[in-house]
Amino acid sequence: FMHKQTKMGLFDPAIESTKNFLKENSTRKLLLQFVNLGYVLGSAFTIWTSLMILWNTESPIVVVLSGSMEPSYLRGDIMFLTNHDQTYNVGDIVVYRLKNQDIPIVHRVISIQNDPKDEQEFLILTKGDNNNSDDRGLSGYGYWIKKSQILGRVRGNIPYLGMVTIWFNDYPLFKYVVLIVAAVLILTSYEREG
Amino acid sequence: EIEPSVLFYSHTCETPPPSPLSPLHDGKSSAFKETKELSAPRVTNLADHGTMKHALDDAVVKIVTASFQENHTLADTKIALGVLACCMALFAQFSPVPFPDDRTILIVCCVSYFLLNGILQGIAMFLERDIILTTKPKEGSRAALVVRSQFPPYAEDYSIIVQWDKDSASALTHVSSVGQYFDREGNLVEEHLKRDVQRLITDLEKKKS
Repeated sequence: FMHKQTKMGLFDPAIESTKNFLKENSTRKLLLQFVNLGYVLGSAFTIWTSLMILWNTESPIVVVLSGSMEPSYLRGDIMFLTNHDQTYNVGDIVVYRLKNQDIPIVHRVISIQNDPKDEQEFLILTKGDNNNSDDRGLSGYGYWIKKSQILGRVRGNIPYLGMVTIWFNDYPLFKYVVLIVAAVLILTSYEREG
Repeated sequence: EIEPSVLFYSHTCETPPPSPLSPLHDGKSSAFKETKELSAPRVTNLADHGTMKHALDDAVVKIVTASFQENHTLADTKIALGVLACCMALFAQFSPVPFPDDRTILIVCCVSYFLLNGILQGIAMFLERDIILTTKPKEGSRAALVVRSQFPPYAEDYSIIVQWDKDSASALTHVSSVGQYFDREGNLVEEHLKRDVQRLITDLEKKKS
């Protein structure tokens, strides 16, 4: 004999639990949960800013995006930069930014000269260990880089950890999914008491 | 498969909850008005300690705030401090001044962020401790009611403590297994909880006078 089945939509359980969550939580509680989320974000921002101050550099942590420094640094390595001592020597591995680009480049210094136009300034020529030619071709103008473009010197390195950042960049959907799931988890989690 | 409530708790509610007009409810006037009918009862996962404590705490708060007014000062302070800390962090990250020049601003923002968070932690650890509800004093009396609850991990005893604010000697405690308040499916039986909480508060008010 026929048994009538009520169809349940795909999102019904999620909608139900969100409705329960909103019903049981007053505005104040919701605000407290948002403050929790803000605490996580704020901590991340503040740690980044503290590192900026401590190491005197605009970008204290960078990820190697290309294989131009193999076999020392592979694509996906995380680098820690400091910039206290701004006298650079030939052989240092520095991270710099080209004038019109956001992406930092990690290469080795192979030559330093005085700037003919400016007494205080130095011009620096860099080359990736794995590249055939030096970096004059990178900027498209054949220029050497100035000291002011350098973000810092590499002081420490964690291999492979930066692959997550590269995946976030290459697959934006992955990034949005991870961020949204993390935000929802934080917002709907209760503070655990001792 | 053995159900967790039978396995862990010494007693769970087998009988249906008593109606509000049952003999358990004192004919004499107590401090309470009737609470409104609940919407669909929320089903709690009986194996999750944190959720159970929150379900119980929320129910106790609901019962007490039917007749007392909640004092929101502490929650409001926490929200204000939290928002201020977030603003500090956001300003540090997105400050319009370029990097080397805004060192002072950044240092101020970071230090104040850590200070504010330290204060928030201090509030949670020393001012709030296990308090789940603070009420405003009723007209005519000077003291505010404070309700605390304890539910140690891996234990089945839930303690409700009521006392007058700033007078810890007046504390009255009621301890019972959570099996008294939840049935096998995880529904919170509010009537049992209400009976215990109301008895506690009536006793506390008698003790004061």
